[in-house]
Amino acid sequence: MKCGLIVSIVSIVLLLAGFTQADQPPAVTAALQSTLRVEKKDGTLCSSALLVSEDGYTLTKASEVRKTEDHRFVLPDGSLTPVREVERDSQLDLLLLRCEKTTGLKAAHLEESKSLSMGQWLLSPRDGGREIRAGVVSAKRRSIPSAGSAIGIQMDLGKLDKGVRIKAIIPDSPAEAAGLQPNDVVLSIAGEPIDKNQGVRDLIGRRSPGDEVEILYRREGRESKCLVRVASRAHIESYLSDDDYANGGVSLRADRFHDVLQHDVPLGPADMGSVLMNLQGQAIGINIARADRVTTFALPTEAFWPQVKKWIEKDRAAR
Amino acid sequence: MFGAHSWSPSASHSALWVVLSAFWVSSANGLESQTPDLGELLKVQAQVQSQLSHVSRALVSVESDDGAASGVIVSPDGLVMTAEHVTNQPGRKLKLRLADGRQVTAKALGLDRTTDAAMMRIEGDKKNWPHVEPCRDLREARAGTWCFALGHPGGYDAKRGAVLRVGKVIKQMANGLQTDCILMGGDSGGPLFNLEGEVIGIHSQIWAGRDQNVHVSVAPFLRAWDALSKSSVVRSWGSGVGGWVGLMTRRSKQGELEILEVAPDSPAEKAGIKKGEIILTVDEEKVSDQPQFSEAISSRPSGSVVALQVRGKSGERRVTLKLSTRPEVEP
Repeated sequence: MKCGLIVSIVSIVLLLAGFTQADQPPAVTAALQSTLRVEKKDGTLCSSALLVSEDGYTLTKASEVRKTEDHRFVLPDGSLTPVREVERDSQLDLLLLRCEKTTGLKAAHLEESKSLSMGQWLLSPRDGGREIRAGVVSAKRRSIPSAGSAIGIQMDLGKLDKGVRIKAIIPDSPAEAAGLQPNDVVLSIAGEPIDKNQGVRDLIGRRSPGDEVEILYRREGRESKCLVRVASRAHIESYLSDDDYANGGVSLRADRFHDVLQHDVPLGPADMGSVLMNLQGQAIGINIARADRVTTFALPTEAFWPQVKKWIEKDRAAR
Repeated sequence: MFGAHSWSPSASHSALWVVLSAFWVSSANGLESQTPDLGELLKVQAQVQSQLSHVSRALVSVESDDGAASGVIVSPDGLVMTAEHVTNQPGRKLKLRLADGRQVTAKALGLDRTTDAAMMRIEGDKKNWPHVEPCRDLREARAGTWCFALGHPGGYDAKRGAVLRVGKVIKQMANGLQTDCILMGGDSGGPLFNLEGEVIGIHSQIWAGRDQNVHVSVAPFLRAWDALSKSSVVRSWGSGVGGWVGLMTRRSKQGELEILEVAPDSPAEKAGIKKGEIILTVDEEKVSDQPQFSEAISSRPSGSVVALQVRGKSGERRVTLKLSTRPEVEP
């Protein structure tokens, strides 16, 4: 069977360009047709979303899409669809939305993934559905425990009368994004006063990646507040390690999952929320986290679909 | 993430990546026109899966105070192939964890600092270790050939087990293979297999790109198998089928091509090149690692004149030398 898969330098990339619809293997068509782009207001891709029912119910990665209203949802023809938030679940890290328009989309048929074996080919959309990449099941199915949370500040251990001084800020960290600087003195986190280094660790560590906390700090005698979005400790540490290139970065949250599949499909953090398919075109999971240079996790169908179906049924009944 | 606690394939400076980008890109472009069909993918899957249970039993995780790495058993009496930057020193004792979780001790044997090849032997009298065979004919491992990698990225994880990556050879070099099997810290020393389940390479270096994973090929292992098994430090001189220059080099921590040794009576010695100096260019072309240099020299016939830009204690200078033929007995 000739189906025109292009092998490129970076694993296998099935480029959309250059194919006629008829040439495309069914798995490629199915994967592309179920994918929406989730963009920030400035047009940068921040996540992918997967259409799971013909009446518009769609899943994406919750921790990458903190506020639904700050994002736009782009259909394959480039037009936008209004969405309504149905359920946000921090355990599965999934956000269920309902799209008003589904032009050009076809819902994925989720199937059980139990028969998957190590070394079996898998396909996933990349770049919000503009291309397809391939990889294999690359490790044992398992649970991923918590790696803790952090915001990317290194505290000065010297004693102050009040608060704790920031010694260093990790580049590209949430603390840097929020505008914190070295020598700022952190006075309180989410209203709780800080007096020693451990206090900062505890208060941040208790939060889930993706949560926002308000930090009160003093800079050159003046007190100010900022909102910082907590990330997983593993995410922050990936910026510290100088010898493990993550290639495009890792997800804000890549831990605390009950059941994941690990694969080597070359994806980036913005490709999470997309479908994971076998070569036969059956959707067997949803990509949920990019953890490091070699590791991408997907939730297998069994781990989320029974729960998601309940939310959808409840929402349909309420309308 | 695991940088502090695992041996990483050594990574380049970002600045060097810019210097070398032309080199990598040109090597990769030739592959893009290949179009396998679904049938080919399924055939590859069947071959990988049929080898997997057998070859993964020969995979070991290396654990010591310095961190975690990988290796692969290649003989029934417990000879293990790994990377030089894992063992570092002949005679060193290292803890290995086998695929079934058991721990054993191994002794570092010989190594080759220029190619990153090294061997270990599991201690004890056991003569039936699960093992794989090294590939005896690397000619098949040309660009576009399917291959797969095993290893313990980030260190041993019982719940996760060994991590598999399936990809293709992008380029074959004098002593190395470049593939798109994505590696990271902890993979160092682990095996790269052909679809017959033979070892074709050992994970060695990564660069920033996902297709920039470099493995020592089995060639330098096979060339010096006896010496490596006898704990010798092997010297791979900068030479090739054509010209011979008589320099042993390696990439320094700063990402430069450092001269480790100069062969007596070699063209390099006659031209006044000294140990510890840095080679910057060969005929105006920038070089920064051993495979590149080796290729630059071996692609030129003996008798040809090359110009090296060399940096020594007293600054940079240009050295012109005439390549000779490789001596019958290496110095």
